[in-house]
Amino acid sequence: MATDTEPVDRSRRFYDDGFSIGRFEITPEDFWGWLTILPVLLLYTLVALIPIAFAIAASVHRVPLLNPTWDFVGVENYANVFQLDRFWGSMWRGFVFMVGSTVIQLTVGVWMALVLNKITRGSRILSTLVFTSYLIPTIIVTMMFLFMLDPYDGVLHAAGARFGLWEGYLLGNTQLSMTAVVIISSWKFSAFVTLFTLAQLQSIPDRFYEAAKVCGATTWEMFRDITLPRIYGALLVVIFLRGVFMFNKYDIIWQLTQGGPGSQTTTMPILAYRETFERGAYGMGNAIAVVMFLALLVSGLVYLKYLNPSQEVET
Amino acid sequence: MSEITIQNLTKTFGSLVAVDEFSLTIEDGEFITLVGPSGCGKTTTLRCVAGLESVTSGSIYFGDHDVTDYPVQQRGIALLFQDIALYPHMTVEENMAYPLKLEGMSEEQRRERVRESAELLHIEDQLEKHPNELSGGQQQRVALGRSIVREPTMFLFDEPMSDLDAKLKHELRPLFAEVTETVGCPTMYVTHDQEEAMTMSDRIAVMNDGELEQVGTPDEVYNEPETSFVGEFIGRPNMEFFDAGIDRHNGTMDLSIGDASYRLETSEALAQYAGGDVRIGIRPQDITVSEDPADGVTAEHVFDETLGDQTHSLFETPLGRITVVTPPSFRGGEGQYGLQFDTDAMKAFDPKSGLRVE
Repeated sequence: MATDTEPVDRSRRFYDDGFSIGRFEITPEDFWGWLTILPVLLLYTLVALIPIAFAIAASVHRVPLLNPTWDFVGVENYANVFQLDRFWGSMWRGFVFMVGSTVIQLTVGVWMALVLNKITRGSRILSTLVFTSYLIPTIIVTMMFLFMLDPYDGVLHAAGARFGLWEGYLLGNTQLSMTAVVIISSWKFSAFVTLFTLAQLQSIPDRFYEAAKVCGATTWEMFRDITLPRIYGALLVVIFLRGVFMFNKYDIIWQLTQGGPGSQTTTMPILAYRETFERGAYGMGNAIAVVMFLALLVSGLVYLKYLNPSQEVET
Repeated sequence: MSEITIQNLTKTFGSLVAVDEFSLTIEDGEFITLVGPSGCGKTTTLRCVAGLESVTSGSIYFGDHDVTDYPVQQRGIALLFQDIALYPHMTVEENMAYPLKLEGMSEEQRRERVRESAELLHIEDQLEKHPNELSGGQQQRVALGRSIVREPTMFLFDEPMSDLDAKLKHELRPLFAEVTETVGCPTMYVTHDQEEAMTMSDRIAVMNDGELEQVGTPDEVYNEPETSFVGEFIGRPNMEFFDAGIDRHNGTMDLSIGDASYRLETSEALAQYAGGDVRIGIRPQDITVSEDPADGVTAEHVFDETLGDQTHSLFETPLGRITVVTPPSFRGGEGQYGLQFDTDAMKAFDPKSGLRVE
């Protein structure tokens, strides 16, 4: 405690007047500022910076999985990656998976949000039901679809085969497996788009629609001239998030098809996993992951620069 | 363009009757104000006429056309909202041109029409801006512009000035009057502000509790209120009401309010109440203050509200608190006074129904 009677004021701490470390002057504000963000910095370093650095480091070494000695090979892994046919194939399939599932999720998600926003009775219970699909763990979703698509007693399989949509096991079908994986992922993640869009829709005052009706606007014109401009910013954010999430999506594809049949559903994360654990090439797997990361980083920055969703959200 | 006829309009929400058997005709070019306290059904009436609410029963005619079941889009009305409802993602010009764009008019013509309307409203230099860069008054001008760019069959105002300050109201009032006269269609203006109603209207329709109390020119509703509600609602300060006993006496009627008694001309209607009670309404402007406490109703002065051109003085009397409009220089000083009522200005109402006794 403060001992004011003593000639030296010991109640003042060392940081009260600032101090310096070498040439750096530390004011009390600096001291408290850094102290406050230090836990976050530490956590971020631990969960993000170190693993990323580790992956980048691994990508420039040859690391056989069963004999983890790190031989430095420079960019050899990268050179090999770009020469792999299966790399370019998986990049294309990853792109198809990302665009296909994002488009479906966007369409279905926005449509569900519009319907939920219109319904006056029971909309709460209905939204809860819709959002349940997003909350169900991926493993349950995939198990459910695997059961339903089972060629012997699956109900979806029975229906699909009956109407001649496919023959045999759908997820083993070389032409349709990608479509099936896209649709199943969209089933789970459309609700994410609904959640975002619905919040935005509910912030549009009824007056806007009444004023538009007075001006003579049809339902479509009201959607085009009021609803769409008001949710455009939120949609840009949602498209960005869904695109990134779907490009990186690993669990749902792996649980459904393990990237098969053959490599029909092997997207980039699946390829990285297969290279690492099936071919035992740890360094190579990491090189693929780093390439994925850079591809996403570049396209993400381009997207944000040219479409600038934050600006759209404000107005 | 032609007149608007509303016949027996009724609107219920569940068991709540918002509008009850409302009938009114608005002539071509006429400015009618629907005035009443909050929750009296005036806005619901307007929304039914606009088509924003469905009608429970009754009909609405635009000229000879029964439009009761028409959607809003087909009625061709102009409507100004209290909360203005300009689109924040469009510029002022785009907002104003929106109805024309929906009609499929070419961009050049749209520009021309918007510019004409903007000049009428003195906002021609604001066209490039977005609504959130404008003041409330300017926003309401833009909204007005959006309604007049095409020729409406009818002009509806839903308390458009409630959110604006007093100075802006005074600026916009003549503008609204000027614009509606230029457009020349029937106008229905909804407000809870009796002053707005008195200053702007050709006729005033006073509503209370879902029902139409009286329709008339501002003069009529002020000077000849048909119900005690109209008497109280129209005119400031509020009309004062007293319970009075009434007796017939040798060809005149004797009215007793408290201790004071007054002699009225006999009328047949009033004679029916002889030996019973009536409710007497008198405006604070028709009460005079006498220095002699014995002169009329004894009153103790409470305080003065000085308005500059007149004073509103509050008195405590055996009949309750009474407001009197006194000369500008009047200062009561909490003294004792006598209040005299001008018998010619007294209005008698039925104590139960509130209907005027003539």
